[in-house]
Amino acid sequence: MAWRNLWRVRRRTWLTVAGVAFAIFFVVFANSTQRGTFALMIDNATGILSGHVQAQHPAYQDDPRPRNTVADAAALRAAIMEQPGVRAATLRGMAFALVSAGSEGRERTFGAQIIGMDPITEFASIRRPATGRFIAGPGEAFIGAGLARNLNANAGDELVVLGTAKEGGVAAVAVTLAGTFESGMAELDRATLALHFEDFAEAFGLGGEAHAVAILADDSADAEAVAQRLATTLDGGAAPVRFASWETLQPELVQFVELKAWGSYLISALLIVLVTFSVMNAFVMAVFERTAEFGMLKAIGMTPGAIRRMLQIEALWMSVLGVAVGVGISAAVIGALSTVGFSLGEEYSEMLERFNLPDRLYPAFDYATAFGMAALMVVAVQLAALLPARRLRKLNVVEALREQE
Amino acid sequence: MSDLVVSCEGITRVYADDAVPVHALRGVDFEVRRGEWTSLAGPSGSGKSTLLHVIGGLDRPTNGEVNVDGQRLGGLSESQLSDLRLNKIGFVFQAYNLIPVLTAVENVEFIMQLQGVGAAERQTRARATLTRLGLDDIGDRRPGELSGGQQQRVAVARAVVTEPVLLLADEPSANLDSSTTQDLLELLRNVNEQHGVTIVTATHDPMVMDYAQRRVRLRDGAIEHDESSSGA
Repeated sequence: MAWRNLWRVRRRTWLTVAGVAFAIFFVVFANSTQRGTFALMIDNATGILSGHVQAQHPAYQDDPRPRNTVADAAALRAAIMEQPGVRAATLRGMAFALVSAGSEGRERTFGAQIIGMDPITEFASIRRPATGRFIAGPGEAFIGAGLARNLNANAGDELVVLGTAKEGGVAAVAVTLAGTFESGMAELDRATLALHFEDFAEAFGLGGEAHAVAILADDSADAEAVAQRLATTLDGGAAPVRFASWETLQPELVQFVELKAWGSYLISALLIVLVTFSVMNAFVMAVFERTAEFGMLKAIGMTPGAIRRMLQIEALWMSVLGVAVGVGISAAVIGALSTVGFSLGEEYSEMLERFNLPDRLYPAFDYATAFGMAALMVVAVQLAALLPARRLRKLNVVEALREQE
Repeated sequence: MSDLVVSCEGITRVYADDAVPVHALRGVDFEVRRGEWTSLAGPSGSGKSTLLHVIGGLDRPTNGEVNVDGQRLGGLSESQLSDLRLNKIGFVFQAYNLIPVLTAVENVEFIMQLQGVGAAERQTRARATLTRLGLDDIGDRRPGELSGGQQQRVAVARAVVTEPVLLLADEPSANLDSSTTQDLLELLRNVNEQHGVTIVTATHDPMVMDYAQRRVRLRDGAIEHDESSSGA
């Protein structure tokens, strides 16, 4: 009977169902897009350079001095590569130094972060050249496009790197510029020079050490778990080492993602409240319209509790219908867009570029949000029906019956 | 088993909602014997519907005592009153008040569903009642597809399917033409005489009054006249 009651005023039922379905679609779509975007954003942000996890000297994060190194780095990298959930790992040397280019008298010098990279194992996205090519072997350098402009250097030019070695001596190396990169992050492009890890180790006196082993996990979302697993499995090695996930390495990225997520939660909550009120309105209308009928039901012996249960079942059907429509549409739309993607338009492209995102977004169906929203809407609709249903307790049968006479 | 199905003693009902209290019933003493068909008559505002509602436990008297089939209504809670109405009293309303989304047979079944009767038995009894009342051909139609007379006959079927001790009908013919009213009254007579159901009707309609064995006329909330006959 509850199901049939739904269809007394079809338009109102469909409007209410549409409200529930829209709320589900909106929240699931927004979260799915956000989830896809966040994953991409994290992948991009971590993929530029840092990786998902880094093995470092325990003091390096707070005190990034050249002497805070990881010993026996190649063996550590090999051990890391054998662990599950690890897609790639590469050695890094890191230091600050002066970089000079140009012939005597026309020489230009700028400060830069010097990164020792192994071209065979390196996964950082900056290795994609904007001009020239990435370093192929010792004696070569690969620099940010901004730094190249500042130095007025082109592929084939000689660069001199002058810094402080691990133990305090002079670190000096001359390299040939192989190419430049554009990461989309001007700061990085202006002040980064990559050279072959062997050159770095020799110039900065690392021996068999490294400043970090950068690691890519199979999934950025699993970074923390991978870091913990590595810490547990590889702890007790010859040298002290700390495994830090991107959440630890880039706390500003975590804050940004959390801020956006809370904004989304707030909008979702507002939408749920709005839909709940519209459902409540629909039920208040239904109870008013059916006053005489409820009076008759009470007269023939149906208890107010039984009438209330009938209304709650009507609410349940309505929410189940709304959930089915909402989740169905969400799955269909997100499923289609997850392969073809969608564009936010020209005006957003600059913002997306700032976060190193592509101009097309690819939502990934968020099952947790879909199930959560479905449950939330069922509960919200039940609560919405509760208030008008409670009015039945005060219903005066005689007055209710008179309404129809 | 007592011979009295309804017993009212000193019933008063005062509506004090407005500034001036309205005395709908003023100390009514009234009894209905088992198997009797009593018609409450009187002009609008005479208190006949109020008395019917008080007997049916739909309204509580301001003062006085009502007994239905030996049960004192004054001592019953709302849920006990619901239970009494469900199991002992059948109602027929002026506006038929069938559930619009249910078919005729489902409307008749519904009250048994409230009683917790199993689906198979419900259907058998509902169909049998409709057949007995000559309504078997409209069992699968919804109220919107039935005439006023047919709807009221289904309402009678719903009221008697549980074999109540008392059938209360408030202005049952108010929305019917005379021919349909006649059919309805024959049906009620059948229910009363063949099945021994005690009936109390509240009506303006002389035809209904003529069918009843006993006519009780009310005026200004008090019984003015109480007369028995053998019926039409």
